[in-house]
Amino acid sequence: MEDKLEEKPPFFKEWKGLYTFILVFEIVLILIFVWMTNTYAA
Amino acid sequence: MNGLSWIDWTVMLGTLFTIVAYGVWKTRGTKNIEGYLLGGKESNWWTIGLSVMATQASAITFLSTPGQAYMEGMGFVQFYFGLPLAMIVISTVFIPLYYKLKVYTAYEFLESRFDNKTRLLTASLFLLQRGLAAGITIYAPAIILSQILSIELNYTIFFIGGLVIIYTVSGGTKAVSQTHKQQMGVIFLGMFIAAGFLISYLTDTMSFSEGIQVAGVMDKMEVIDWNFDPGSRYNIWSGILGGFFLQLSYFGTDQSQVQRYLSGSSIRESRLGLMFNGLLKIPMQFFILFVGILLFLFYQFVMPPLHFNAENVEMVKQSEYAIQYEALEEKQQIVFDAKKDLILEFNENPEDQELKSAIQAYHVEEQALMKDSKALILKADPNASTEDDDYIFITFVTNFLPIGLIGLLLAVIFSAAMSSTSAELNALASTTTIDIYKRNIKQDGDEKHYLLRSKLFTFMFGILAIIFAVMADLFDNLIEAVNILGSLFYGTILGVFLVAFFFKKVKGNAVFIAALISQAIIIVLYTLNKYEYINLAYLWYNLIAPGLVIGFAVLIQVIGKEKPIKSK
Repeated sequence: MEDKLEEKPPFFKEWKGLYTFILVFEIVLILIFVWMTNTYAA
Repeated sequence: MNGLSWIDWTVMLGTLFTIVAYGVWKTRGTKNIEGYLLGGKESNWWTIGLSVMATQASAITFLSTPGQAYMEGMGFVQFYFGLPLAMIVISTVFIPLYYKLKVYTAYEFLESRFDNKTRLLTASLFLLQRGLAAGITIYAPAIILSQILSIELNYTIFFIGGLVIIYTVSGGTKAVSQTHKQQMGVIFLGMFIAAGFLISYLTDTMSFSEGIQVAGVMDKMEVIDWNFDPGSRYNIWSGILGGFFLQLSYFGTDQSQVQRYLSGSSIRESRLGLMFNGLLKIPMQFFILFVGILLFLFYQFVMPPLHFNAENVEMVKQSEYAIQYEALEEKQQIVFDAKKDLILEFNENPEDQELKSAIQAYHVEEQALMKDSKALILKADPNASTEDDDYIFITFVTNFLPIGLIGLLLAVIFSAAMSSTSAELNALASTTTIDIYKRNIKQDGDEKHYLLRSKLFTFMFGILAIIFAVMADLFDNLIEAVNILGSLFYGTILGVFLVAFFFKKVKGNAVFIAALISQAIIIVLYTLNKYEYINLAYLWYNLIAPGLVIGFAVLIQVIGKEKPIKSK
């Protein structure tokens, strides 16, 4: 079981990389939503 | 809707029966309890990811969400902003511990950390909350589908409940995960096709970007609300903070979700399954909401019904208020025609502020007419439910999509109802078998005994859900009571788990008493809010309750200097 804890995610050297990617992805989405609100909301 | 064509019936029933048959066939011959409750721990990450998403996405998600965007705009997407971070916390803290202790349920972990009574308390709260909610998961879409399909409500309930019972009892967790994949496939296909048709209808009149601009003029494109108002349902702060704790509680401690990722073949697969959800959930919710915006644009050029629940309209038109209702419809036609002309004009002159204001004024007038129509419906029948948001999307599907696709979209709604119900029954049976029966009633049974009991409990909860769904129609406030009950327990359960993970010196008695006090305070806050002494949106309870549990548990531990309690 402990060995499996060490298994790496695909495309990233460690889990921290994947977690950072997901958070950055969310921030980008929120920025797009902010842009949509500023551009299209009345 | 004047009945469904035989092609639509064939597509809908063919899709649903194929999924059920596949689930039963693919998972036949489960011989032990691990195979039945944890799917033999064979699931890969994408099966887990789809299963987690299918569990959360109930039929009401697909009926309500487009309707919500149609009425109130895109703001609901903020509700999910806390989800990716919650997935990361569960992946780093919860999953390794669940795997290390080789638990079948989330509550089993609490006995290792605290004691049996804390395990029993949280398992019982879950059983109460989910046991009742399972009935609503069937009832809420059944009431709409029965009307659309012109079938007796109870038959629709028996149909959904019966199909779910067949494959969930037969194949357990594996059947739930396998069918979730097919159901999500049908759901995505159906929603993409519906969006495609709406876009093609829109682009007959104006470009996609111009359409969004028109939606924006009528306040539908305010995706982000920066105002920190504890009373507002959705803003970026309640979404990130309250949403984070709600999603942490739901995905980390609700057995209907925990069971999905505990079926993973390794920690890696479970983690990746949750990351899959963390990555796709916000775009998926945005997309479903956006279908509502496309619907709104569609109904700027095609006259919408004044009220979307056709049964209510029929009722009021047969009452003494028929003439008044028809007068409202005539006014709506005038407003609609004038607004449509202005929108086309605005499309040519998007900088014209006067045109913008005129469109907004007509939009407000149209909304006032809709409100008046609801008041008339209530006069005609004081017991009528005038909320028609859930009927908006399905009204479009049945009236404007081609034959064949209507059947597919109805299969989407049924699939969503079945996917969340099956996960609930599966989790209820696991918790009853592992946390109640095996731990407290019969500890010396063999594999076969517990397997049979698990199947029996799944069947029993399925029947209970059906009975509850049938009864829900008889008691007006039952659904509201169940929904409130569910949202009020989540924070407390999460608080107990957070103490378990992060406050190693706090013992069983302290957290148990803290949970009871915190739950009582949350109920008091809810009551004060209900009678308008305070103004607090429900998402905040999910932040306050864990804070209270942690605070009281630490305080009681320090003051009481409680000695450690031995588990088992």
